[in-house]
Amino acid sequence: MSRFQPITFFNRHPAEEQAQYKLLPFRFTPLDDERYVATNLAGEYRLIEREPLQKLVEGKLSATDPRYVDLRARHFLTDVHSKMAADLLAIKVRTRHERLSEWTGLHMFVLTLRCEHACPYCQVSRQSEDKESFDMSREHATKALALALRSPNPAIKLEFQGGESFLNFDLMKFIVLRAKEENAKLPVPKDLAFVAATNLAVVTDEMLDFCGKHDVGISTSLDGPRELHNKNRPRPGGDSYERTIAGIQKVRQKLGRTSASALMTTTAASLPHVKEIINEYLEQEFHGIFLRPLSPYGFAMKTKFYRAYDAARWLQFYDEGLDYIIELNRQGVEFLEYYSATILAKMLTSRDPGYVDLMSPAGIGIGGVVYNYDGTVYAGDEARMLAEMGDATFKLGTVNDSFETLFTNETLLQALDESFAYSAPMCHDCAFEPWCGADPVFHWGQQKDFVGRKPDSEFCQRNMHIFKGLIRRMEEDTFVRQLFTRWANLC
Amino acid sequence: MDPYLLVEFDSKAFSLLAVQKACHRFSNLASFEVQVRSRDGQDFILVTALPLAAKSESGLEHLAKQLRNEALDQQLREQIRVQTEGVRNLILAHAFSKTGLISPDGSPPAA
Amino acid sequence: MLKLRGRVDVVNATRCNPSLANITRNPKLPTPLRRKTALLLKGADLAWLTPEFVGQLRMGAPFAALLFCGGETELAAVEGIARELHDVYLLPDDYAYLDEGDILRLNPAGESISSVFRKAAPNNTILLTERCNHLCLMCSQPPKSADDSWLLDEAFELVRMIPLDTENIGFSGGEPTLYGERFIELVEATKLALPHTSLDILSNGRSFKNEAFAAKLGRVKHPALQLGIPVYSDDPVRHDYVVQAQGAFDETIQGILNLKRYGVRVEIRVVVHQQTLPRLVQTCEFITRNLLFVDHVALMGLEITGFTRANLEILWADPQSYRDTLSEAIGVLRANGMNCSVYNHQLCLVNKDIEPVYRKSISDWKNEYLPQCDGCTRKSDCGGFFSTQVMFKHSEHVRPFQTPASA
Repeated sequence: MSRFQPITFFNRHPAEEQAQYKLLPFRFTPLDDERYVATNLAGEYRLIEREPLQKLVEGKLSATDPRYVDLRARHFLTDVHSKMAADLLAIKVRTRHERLSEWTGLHMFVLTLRCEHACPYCQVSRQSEDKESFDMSREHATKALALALRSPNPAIKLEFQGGESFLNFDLMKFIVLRAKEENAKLPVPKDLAFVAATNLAVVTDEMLDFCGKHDVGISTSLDGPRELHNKNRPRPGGDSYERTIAGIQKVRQKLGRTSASALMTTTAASLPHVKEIINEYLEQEFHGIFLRPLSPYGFAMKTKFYRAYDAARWLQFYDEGLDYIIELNRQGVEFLEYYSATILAKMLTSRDPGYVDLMSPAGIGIGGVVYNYDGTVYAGDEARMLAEMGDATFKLGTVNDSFETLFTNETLLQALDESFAYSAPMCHDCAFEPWCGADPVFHWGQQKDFVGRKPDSEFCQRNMHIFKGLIRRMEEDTFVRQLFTRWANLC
Repeated sequence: MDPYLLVEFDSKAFSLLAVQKACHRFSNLASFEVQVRSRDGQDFILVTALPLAAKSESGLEHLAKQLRNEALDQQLREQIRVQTEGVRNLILAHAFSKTGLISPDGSPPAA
Repeated sequence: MLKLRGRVDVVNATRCNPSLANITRNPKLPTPLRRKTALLLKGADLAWLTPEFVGQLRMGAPFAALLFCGGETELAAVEGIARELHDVYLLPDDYAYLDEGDILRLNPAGESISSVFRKAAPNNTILLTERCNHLCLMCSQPPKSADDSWLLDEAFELVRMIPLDTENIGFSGGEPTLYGERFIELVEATKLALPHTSLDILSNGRSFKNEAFAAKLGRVKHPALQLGIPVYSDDPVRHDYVVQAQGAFDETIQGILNLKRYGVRVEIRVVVHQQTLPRLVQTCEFITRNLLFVDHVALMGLEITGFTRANLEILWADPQSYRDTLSEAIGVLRANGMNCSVYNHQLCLVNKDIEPVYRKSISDWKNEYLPQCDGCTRKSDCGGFFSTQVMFKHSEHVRPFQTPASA
């Protein structure tokens, strides 16, 4: 009978003829000897071998090639069958960049430089307890708060740092209470979040009660099992680990089971022990870990800690840790690696996780700002650490300056403009550019250049290694692909 | 005379600015003289580099290699910056759009 | 499967035009309500028809119709009585499901009735037209080209008769939006007539490629409206093939984008069969990358009715054979945080990972079980089969569960 047409009727490419298609913008970078990673305008990837890639680019890809339909559906090419690619790509690209205009969300307050720990890798030049001239003043805090609330971002996170932030608990209280007051007066009050970075060694019940009452989150340092942690983080009494663990338990008791988060710092001593470190986090009932690269600032630089290991060795550490975490998940243990999850969000979704170190335009100023104990304002944590080493290039001004003055700072604007990844050689053509970022502070620190020569850049090498590694793992194993997709959507 | 280096750049492949920027990058290692010359009707850029500290033959060769790479880098940067100006300005303007810092004509604060 | 409509004997009709009537089983219904109400006497009620009772019926204010429902013998017994009255419809006991509060369309000239609203049904769907601009390979409501706008006219009346406390109704077709402006007017009228009733509308979404039309629907601001729109593949050629219309994919996608722009809830529906299975997972991936903002995605089993029977050879796939593909597809949607459901499948034919999104969805008037389902420990969790599946085609691999769900 058939009033029904076969599928060939709807295919306007007659089988014998060459497919007529137009390429949509895409880039490609080798994954290995045989395959390339191709990414479309929206940063969605597909693997493709050299030969079909060549055919594709030369306009010779056959419509009967099984990849053809896929490449069309994924917006690498377009033909007469659909005109939706442009609109859909536009939506995705717009979504990726949407959050940029929210402006600075992370505002870091260095409440004091005082700290009773003596961690060699500390990126803050700490002073011992009796030097009170290293505390932030109320006057500075008030002005800094006003600047923070001036940001157009509908959600602001105030992070208290140090030294040891709780050594200036009075000021922390002052800022939290005043922030809530001033915020309520705004025509459109913002979503306020507070978090205190602390070693938990000096925290009292009174302090925790305050945090509970005012929703101040707690972020502490846990470098690994007891021996490693105490070796990394010496304090008088040598009991940093014990105090940290006791502190975590107390925080959970008073503030809730998921109220404490922990960060680790990787040192040369950590490198052979990634599994032990992860196991320590498991034992302490954390639901994930952030495998952070060591940044080349502060005491780390001075004590040649950074050079004690290089990017390649850290990548081994990271790979071993990630693979171990994947195995845990395979056994049914839900445990996350936050650094990978953040990167996966950029790779697998159109959302912007707002991770300051991996943004283009760079996260300096736009992503985060630091108000130092002495009233100086820096374009982010890295910027302040660079200043501690004697290079104040990324100092925006002081809290006495207006919002306008601070954010039209010439260096800031120049660095944002010059480091823009899409305009940088190599980055411009790199398939991974939509997922990557610009790090002008790092490149300035290393190469005295906002852009950096990417072939020399450890930032570039690290990121490329990670992108390729994550892709390889997903391609080899559906379980990992699904796990990573879930991670990408959690951030 | 102290050992010095001569490096030539084809004017059709490199802008003067790119070569100058490249030289500037190594101004802590050498003093540079940049000239535009002509040979058989073809222009070229001639760079004379006088090392600030003594350098061996291989050291000079190394500097030459670095200089060539850097010039290439600067040349590319220039070209790509021009090509991508539209996109870059659009995205930066979007980033600044809610700060109140944008000038009336819509362009982001100038660097 | 319930018989919702059909030819019946009509005795002494006093009017010829079709009309809607509420159903009551109360012979003493207050007079003002009788004009739009039909009195239903079914089964044992027929014994009420004593001469006295009949006398009261003849003398009292007339009902819109009298419905005598029973088996052959029962009806034969009251045929004489029927002749003494007016507007009597003799309903075989196929219609014994009818009850107080239902709404019926009476067609005296055509000698037929049609159940258009059942109080006991969890979902009632109103057919707005049989005209359509698609010709889906698996269409369960094969299109007709005749002007049937009387269905739309009737719908305006019907929504004003449906009880205010009804939880949900649906509009379907054919393609309801072919009515253009009048479609929007109906949605507006429904919002006013049933302000607390959620409304599900099935549409191919193509009319909404016109942004102004989507804006109009958005402006109605219906409090609980959802459009169910099929997208059968991420491949425009394959989608156009399944719906048998060139250019359908683009217009449907554009329609979805516009609807979301104007704040209308959208559910994407994918019927799972041989022609959609080859790219089912990729289609779900396409949805998560390009249409992440839609409100729900439904993957649906095949009903063996309408065009499906004619095209069975190119459509049928045993769910047993695609269980893993279904799991992967749902896995993609859930991993990306999308709301999704699996409809019209049987519990023994899906993997365990489907169960969190499995819904007992087959309409109550068309669901049944197979003999091998007897003694299945999870029968009450399972939606069963379409009656048409029982009759014409179903999986070879239906097996009862021996142990309860928790095991």
